[in-house]
Amino acid sequence: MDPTTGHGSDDDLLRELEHAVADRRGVPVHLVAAAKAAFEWRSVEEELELLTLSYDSSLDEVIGVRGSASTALRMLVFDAEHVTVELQLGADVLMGQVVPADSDRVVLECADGRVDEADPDDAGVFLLRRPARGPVRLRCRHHSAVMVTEWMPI
Amino acid sequence: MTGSTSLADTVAAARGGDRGAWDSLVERYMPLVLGVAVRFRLSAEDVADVSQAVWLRLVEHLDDIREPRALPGWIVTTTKNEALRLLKARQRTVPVDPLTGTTLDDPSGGAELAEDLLRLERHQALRDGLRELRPGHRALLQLLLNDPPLSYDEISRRLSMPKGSIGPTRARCLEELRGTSALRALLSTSDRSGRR
Repeated sequence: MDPTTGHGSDDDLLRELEHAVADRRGVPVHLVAAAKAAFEWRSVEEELELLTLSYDSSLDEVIGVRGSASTALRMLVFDAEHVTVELQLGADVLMGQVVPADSDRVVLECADGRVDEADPDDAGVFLLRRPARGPVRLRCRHHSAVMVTEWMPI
Repeated sequence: MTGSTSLADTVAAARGGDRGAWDSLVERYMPLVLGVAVRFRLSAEDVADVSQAVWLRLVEHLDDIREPRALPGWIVTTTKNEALRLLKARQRTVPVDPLTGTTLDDPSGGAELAEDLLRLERHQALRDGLRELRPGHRALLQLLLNDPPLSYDEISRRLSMPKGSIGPTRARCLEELRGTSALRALLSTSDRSGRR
């Protein structure tokens, strides 16, 4: 098929159709199942405020600097209007701090529907188990506002 | 419209919380997501993560879809962005070549990739178009595309259609396919060059 007009010959069109139908084969079943399960996260009930990623240490790394690859932990900072959340990605845990400290429960939501929760201490510090794979997002509550980050790879 | 549910209806139903509609969106567009994701030379696990990130975004994006016909384009762009995002997040753990200073092949800027993505989107439009055809036409095309190929005698037998009609009907099927909203949508979006 001519991509600009869509009026190639019948044989061309049929051939491309053949390729198009072939794309559908070999789609892994577990990916389809996981994608279907993503619908669990559809939230219609509440108004969510976005915690926007304002800093990601992996993006300001100087490429070629070998030392940083194994030593430093990746650090992320998220901001909403009245709240800032810092998150350090350790090998097994996610260490975070929410400012101001009087935020309620912090919830780590995983793509497969699992969650891990933590209550920040007096300094706003919290600890969550790091799941083997992403994407994940962080949800927290400050007074009446519910805030959530975007889904992010880890 | 034929018996098949239109994309707009499916999107609206999913937005309304209909799980079956969501499932059918997943089945319909997963080949597109994977087709884009595998072009970034990711591991199988990373392809899975990219895929999941795209679907999670689509869950959130459902309420914002004004024009369902633009969904395939949105999926291509989002998958590409998620793949690049994941590559960046992985940079820290990818071995660095000290001589070149590069860690990854960055395929994002290539004309080849852009071409691939357009082709994948076109394939998606063709699959969507196939769903829009009247059942008899769809059945004929599916038999013509059968792997391994079927003889006209066999197709004639299966569809109870005179062998001499297969050629002319095939031409009508393809004409109908060109006129489906899926293919017309593709043409109208590819007119807007630099749309993304």
